[in-house]
Amino acid sequence: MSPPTVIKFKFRLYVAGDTQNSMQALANLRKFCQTYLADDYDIEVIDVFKEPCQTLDAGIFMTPTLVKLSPFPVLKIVGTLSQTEIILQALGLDARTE
Amino acid sequence: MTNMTKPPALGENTEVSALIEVLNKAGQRLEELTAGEVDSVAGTDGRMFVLQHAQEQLRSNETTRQAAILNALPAHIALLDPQGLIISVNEGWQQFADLNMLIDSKHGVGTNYLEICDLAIGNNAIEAEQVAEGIRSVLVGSEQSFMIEYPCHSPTQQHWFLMTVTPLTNSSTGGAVVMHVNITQRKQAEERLHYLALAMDGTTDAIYLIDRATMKYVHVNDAACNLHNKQRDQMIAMPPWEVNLTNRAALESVYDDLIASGLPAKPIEYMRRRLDGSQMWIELRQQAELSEERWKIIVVERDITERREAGARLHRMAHYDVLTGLPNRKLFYEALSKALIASATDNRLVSVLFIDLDHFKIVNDTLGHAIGDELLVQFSNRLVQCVRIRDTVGRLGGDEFAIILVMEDESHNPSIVANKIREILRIPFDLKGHEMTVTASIGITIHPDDASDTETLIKYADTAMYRAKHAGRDTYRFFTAQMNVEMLARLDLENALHKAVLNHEFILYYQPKVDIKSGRVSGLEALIRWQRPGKGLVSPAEFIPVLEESSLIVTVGSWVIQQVCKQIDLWIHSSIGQIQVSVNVSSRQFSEGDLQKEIFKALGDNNVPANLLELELTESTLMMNTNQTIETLENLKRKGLQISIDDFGTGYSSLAYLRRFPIDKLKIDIAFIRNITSDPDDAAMALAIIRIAHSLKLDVIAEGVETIAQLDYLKKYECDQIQGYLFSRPLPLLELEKLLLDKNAITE
Repeated sequence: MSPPTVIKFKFRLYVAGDTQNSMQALANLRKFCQTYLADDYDIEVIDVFKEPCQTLDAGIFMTPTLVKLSPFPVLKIVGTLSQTEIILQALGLDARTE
Repeated sequence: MTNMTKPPALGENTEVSALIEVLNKAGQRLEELTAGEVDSVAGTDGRMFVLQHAQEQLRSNETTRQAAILNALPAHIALLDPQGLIISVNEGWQQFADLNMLIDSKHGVGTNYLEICDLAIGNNAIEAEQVAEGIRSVLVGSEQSFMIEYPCHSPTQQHWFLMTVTPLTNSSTGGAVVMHVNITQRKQAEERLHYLALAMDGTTDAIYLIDRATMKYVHVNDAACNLHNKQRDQMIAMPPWEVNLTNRAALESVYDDLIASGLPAKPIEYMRRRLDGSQMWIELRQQAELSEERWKIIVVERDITERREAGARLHRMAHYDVLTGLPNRKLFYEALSKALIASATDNRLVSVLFIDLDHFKIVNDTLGHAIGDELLVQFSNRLVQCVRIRDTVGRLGGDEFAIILVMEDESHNPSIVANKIREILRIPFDLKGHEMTVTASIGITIHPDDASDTETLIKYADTAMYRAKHAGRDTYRFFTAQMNVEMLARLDLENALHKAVLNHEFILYYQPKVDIKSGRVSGLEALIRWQRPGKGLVSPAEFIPVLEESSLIVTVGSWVIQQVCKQIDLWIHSSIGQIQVSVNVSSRQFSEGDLQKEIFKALGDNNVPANLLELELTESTLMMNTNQTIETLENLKRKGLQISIDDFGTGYSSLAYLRRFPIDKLKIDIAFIRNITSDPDDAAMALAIIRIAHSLKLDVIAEGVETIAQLDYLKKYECDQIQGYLFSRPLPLLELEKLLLDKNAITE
């Protein structure tokens, strides 16, 4: 099966190793994507302990932090991503679901 | 740590406590601000601040993970501190500690591993010492790692372990990781392979394993290397088709057929040359086996040279005479059958020559079997020279040989061959220093004129050969129908004689012997007669030779001795009184029967004094079985029997044997007596015999005395006894007894 030529949603999740909140955020993100975005998403996980420079360059000061790279505009959400409503809103998807 | 901070002062301590308090508060505040949803916070300079709860969680995650990894490993792992104390063990280790290990004590944390090793005694002490040394060298950093394989056998099972010791940290003093891996299965597999290789090398069969895909040897055993005189690595490097002297495609096709058939190939036997050029026979067995998804060809070669040679030897022994190398009776018959079948299509005559050496038995008896055998070998060589290659010469047994001639033209007829044989025998044989000339008697049959089958052809040729013998030997005779008639009559006679023995058809006649001086009967000669039912009394000349030629003479001779002893006993107890009786003894009774035992038994059974029994032997009897004969005669003589030589002067008449044998009496042959009064030569001979006998202190008797003139001559020259029609013919019992009782007087 060939992947779609252009993936609509691209996320980057900054985590601090396998700490609880970071893992919680990753699990919530995955669940969220599977529920709302079908296959049309891509998640990149970056461990800030391993990639401190990239983290600094990206201006990330807390973990876990989710960065929505596309669609434009770039958006950051800090926290465990347990509030689905907030995320939907942040992604501009709340209207679509209603 | 060389750069140790000096102990903080009391005032500084207070300050530190205050700062920690601030930090804790700051941390708690940060947690509150981030609602517990954040793990780490970084400043703009990138310095990371991991929140308290996240730090704890990270630590515990790491520990759990490491423990899980260690516990998941099938190895038994312990961590040692720099002094050798066990500071941590995995689950595997705990189970491992329960087994009977290098050390018997428990492997709990806190025990010093090195000390346990140092204290080890018994079977594992040496290994324990090596282990301790290995661990120390890793702990002090002199070795980067240490490994040892060691056996560790519980009472019920055998185990092997691989122990590895590696530093716990990069620093040389950071302790060590000790890991034991159970390698029992690997060891057992290795051991099995080792034994298998030993077994393969132990067999004398050459074994090769070939990988079909690569067409290379996977394994060859010692025997295979020896067979090709190569080192194992040389052998392994050679392509199998070169070893088998063929090409790759041909060998591949053979192997593919094996794979396709799924069965072991039928053993093939083939001949190959050894390195020294000699022949060897190989039995080749091949089989394809699928092993680890690859087809392997198993080839076994066995040296069966000995078996083949034994087989060939057996075949040779079954078909060829060992002594002369000629076809034996069996093969000769087969060859004759084939010749007869072939003759049916090409209409050629086939002739059989039956050849028998004359007087061969005497050669054997006098010069020994070794010389006799040598004569047979040389004779067979000459015989072969008398025929063409395509003719068959065989040895039928003893001194009997036979030839098959396929007659193509007149130049090769059997009489020419027979004469060639006679001629070639004129040249004396050199038998290990004994020069000797022999002659042969030959009988000839022609197929299809005389007979149509092999058996009869050979039998008739044998008959014809006997005819040649009777005709004076050194000659040949063609078989004639008349011979057949005679042969049948002879067979008839033999059968009748067999019956005569069973039916007691023989009777004894007695001829008196007379003492010349006193004129009285001084003894009797017992003579056998045959009352053949329906034919009356048969002449002894007719049946005695037949008895002599068959072994019947032994049975009949034995009967005569028993009968005579019985008669002597009867006479002793009658008015006739003691009288000496002589019996004729044949050479076969010496060689085939137990003459001595029979005589002793007959004397004992009838309570007859031995001196009343006299044995008459011919010269030829004496000459055969000499050693055995002398021994028997000496035993009999010691017992008191009288021994006399019958028909003296006609046989071998060697004066030497008169000394060698224990003889009492000579009987002058009838041939000399017959013309004693008319032929001066015979008279001189008779006289000479008397003189010799007397000078050797032997008695002399003359047989066949028929006239007064003969009697007078013998009387004049002091012959001791006479026997003949002049006094009495052989008489049946009743007539004899009448004569004995009448008057024991000689007619003056």
